[in-house]
Amino acid sequence: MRTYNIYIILLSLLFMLTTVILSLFDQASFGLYFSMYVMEYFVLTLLFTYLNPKARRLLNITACLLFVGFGLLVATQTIAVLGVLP
Amino acid sequence: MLRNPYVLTGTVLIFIGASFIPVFYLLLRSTPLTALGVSVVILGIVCLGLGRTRPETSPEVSAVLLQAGVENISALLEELGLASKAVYVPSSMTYGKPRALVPLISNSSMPHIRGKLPNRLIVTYGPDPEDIGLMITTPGSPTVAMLESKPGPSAKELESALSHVLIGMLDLANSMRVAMRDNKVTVEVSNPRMEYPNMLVYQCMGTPLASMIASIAAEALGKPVAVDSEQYQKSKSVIELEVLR
Repeated sequence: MRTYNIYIILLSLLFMLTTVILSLFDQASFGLYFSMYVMEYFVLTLLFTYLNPKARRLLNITACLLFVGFGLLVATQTIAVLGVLP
Repeated sequence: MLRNPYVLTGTVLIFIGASFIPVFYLLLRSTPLTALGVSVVILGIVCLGLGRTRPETSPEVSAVLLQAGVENISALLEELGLASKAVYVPSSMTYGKPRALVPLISNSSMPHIRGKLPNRLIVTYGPDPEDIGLMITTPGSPTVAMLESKPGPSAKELESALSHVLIGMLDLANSMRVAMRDNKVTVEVSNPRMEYPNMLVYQCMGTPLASMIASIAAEALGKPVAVDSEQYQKSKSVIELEVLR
């Protein structure tokens, strides 16, 4: 389970650093934070190639959910830009 | 299920994240804190997912089962007075799983296996009357079943297969390196995490780690393989295998 522990610790560190750095730059766009989290999740999961196939399958499902969330954010932003929603 | 530390951590993280997101977003109106809450929920989901892939059997129970199995094999080999080196045979040369063949007659030369070996305890592997041996299931035998696909015979593919099973799935080492030359395969294992008592059976079968490596190597090469030597240094093990014809 050492691999799992390293994966979780690295992911936590990445998320924490991203939040701290973006907040230092006074970023107020939630979409930016979420996009960075999704990108970091994808990259880190890809780098851990020797994971248990069952673990990989579950992480892929999580990746799909995050991608759906990202898609919803993009759709909301697009609608706001097009001026359909107030 | 909640005894699993990953599931427990995941559940707590999801609960904490989900509780604080509305507070940060609606009351404090802070985007960074809301994003932090979301990241905590994502981490909770990841922990929950990884926790579900953790085996139900604890490592202590697995160690007990391994010890019992090895002691049984040791007792069998000592009773029969077998001192020959075991030959790890791939599944393509048996009518079942990959196993290890221990010749009953000690010989300086390695056995020449002709044809497929039957799925029995005592088998005949050649035309001579002395070509009789024991077919034993070793720790390496079920390890081969963990491979997603049969690896190729190159050093890179063998290294990838060994890393996938022994590092990714079994967490037995930090890294592996494979080198092939003539009929020798050298496997360097960094920081092996398997401890076992010094037993006579390991001189015949090789240690459990060597057994797993030899089984996977035999499967990849499609040829029988024997453990030639094992050297253990501070943070590295070097296992040399001999590939038989």
